[in-house]
Amino acid sequence: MKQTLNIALPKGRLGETVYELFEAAGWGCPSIREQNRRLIFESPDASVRYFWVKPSDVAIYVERGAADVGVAGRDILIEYAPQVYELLDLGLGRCQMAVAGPKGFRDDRSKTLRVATKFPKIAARHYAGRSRAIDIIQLNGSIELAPILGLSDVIVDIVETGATLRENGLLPLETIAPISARLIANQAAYRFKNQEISALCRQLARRCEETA
Amino acid sequence: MDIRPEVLEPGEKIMLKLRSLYRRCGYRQYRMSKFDEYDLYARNKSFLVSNRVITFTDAGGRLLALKPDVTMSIVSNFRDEPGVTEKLCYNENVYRASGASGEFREIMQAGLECIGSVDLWAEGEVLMLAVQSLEAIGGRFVLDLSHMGLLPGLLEGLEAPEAEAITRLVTKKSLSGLNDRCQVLTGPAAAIPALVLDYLPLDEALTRLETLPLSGVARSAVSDLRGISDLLGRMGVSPERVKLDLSLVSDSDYYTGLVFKGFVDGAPEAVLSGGRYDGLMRRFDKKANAIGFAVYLDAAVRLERTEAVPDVDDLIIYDEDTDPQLLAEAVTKLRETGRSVRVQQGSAGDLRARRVLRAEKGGGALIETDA
Repeated sequence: MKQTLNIALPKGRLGETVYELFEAAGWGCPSIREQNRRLIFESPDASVRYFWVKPSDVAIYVERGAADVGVAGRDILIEYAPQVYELLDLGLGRCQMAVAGPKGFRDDRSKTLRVATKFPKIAARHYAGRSRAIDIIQLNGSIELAPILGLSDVIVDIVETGATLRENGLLPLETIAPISARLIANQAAYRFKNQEISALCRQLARRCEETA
Repeated sequence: MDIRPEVLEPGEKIMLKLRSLYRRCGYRQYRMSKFDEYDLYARNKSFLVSNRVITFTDAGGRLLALKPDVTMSIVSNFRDEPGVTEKLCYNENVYRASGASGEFREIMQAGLECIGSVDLWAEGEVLMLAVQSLEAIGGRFVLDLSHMGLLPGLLEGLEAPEAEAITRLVTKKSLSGLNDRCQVLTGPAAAIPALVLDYLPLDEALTRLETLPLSGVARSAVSDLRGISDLLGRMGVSPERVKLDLSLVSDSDYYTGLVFKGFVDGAPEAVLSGGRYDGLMRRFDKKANAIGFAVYLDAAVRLERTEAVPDVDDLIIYDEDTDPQLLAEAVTKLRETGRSVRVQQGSAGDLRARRVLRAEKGGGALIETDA
């Protein structure tokens, strides 16, 4: 008997692109396109249920089993290390985790480097083992503001085209890791809804290859 | 002594089921003290589920820990006696930091250990008890199994960084990554992606593995697993309930053979976890071998359906005119019939009772009321 698959999608532009991929792979749910404030959408044949979730929360829903699978950026997965399976790289939302700083920035190693970031663990790990004293300043948004106002020397943040950085007089200095959207699965759901999840995986993988 | 089932708290029911299960196989109850020297855990942090431990200083200035684990306690207190095999079961509260918040929690843990000479029979019995423990929790379940030598055995011949990368992809079940890396390989490693994706019952997975050209280590692991698979079949365990899961390997040297995890539908994480831990025994300078598992009751408890059971059968309200002597007779008669009875003046708040009675005639009669 086919079971309903509960899928957590990140709210926002990436989420919509992700949904289009799922739909093209045969896992569509037409009611999701209706203009309303609902958060849960079930397909007519009850094979799939989608929820819109804050992007940084997708991994929590999946880890705790409220969703069977979800799509989360590799940045969230590295930072929070949720206990989930990372089944596929969907190749969407490609960007880089990078260190960025003002044009002409020179690192003075005699001073503690102040790093502003939304990703304190990633930043700490990046500088660990470099014998570099750093001060991590955790912020929640508009990280580019920090070096401009002298709050920090550099930032560790996601860089897509680099336009936001450039417009604010900043440059990427070092790449830390490539980031993209990943299909993640709850460990128990992977076992009890294995047929449905493998089918989803196969169909998405095929679709990704076709469009690559 | 009659104990009505609804008196049991959710965790207690499962705990008692497990205890009788293990005792039926002759396991004896182990009781541990609440704290140990912190040093014990500091030296073996990677065996623990979480490496954060609650510590405090005792009157003598020693750093002690509230126990985060039972197995280590049992192992460190175990006395090697040649020819003697101990079978111990337990249910204890342990203290661990869990989840993203990292807050410490008291966790109910049940489990068992078989320490001494561990042969195929002993392993089979432990696994059978693991399956029966999952059954006792209720609902759909699966026991996933692997062998510490299997994945390394399949990866033999590959350079260390490549083998590590593939191992990491297997633990994350990253299917696209695995396909990319293993497609270009010859030898048994090429079979890895399919084994991960297909999630097969143990005997089917073994049949597939047995057709591959395996190295000594892998062959030995497969042979051990085959012995277990056959034995479990003879013990009445349904093959559909036991599956091969390559991702169970850990990077520590505590586990040396079988490793397994149990899942129950409705619980987001494993409710049971265990393995053959000869490595841990050696770290404690013990010669004996050991196999065991832990059942995490908190997750299992969440699955129990809590019906809206009334708090009490009868609620008796009396007033200042009631004679306690007369009331006592009436109440005792009621309780003798097996009913639970709460007696008081005034309101009982949001207490749920099957019947509400009022004491009339000074306590000599009990009349049912609506309120």
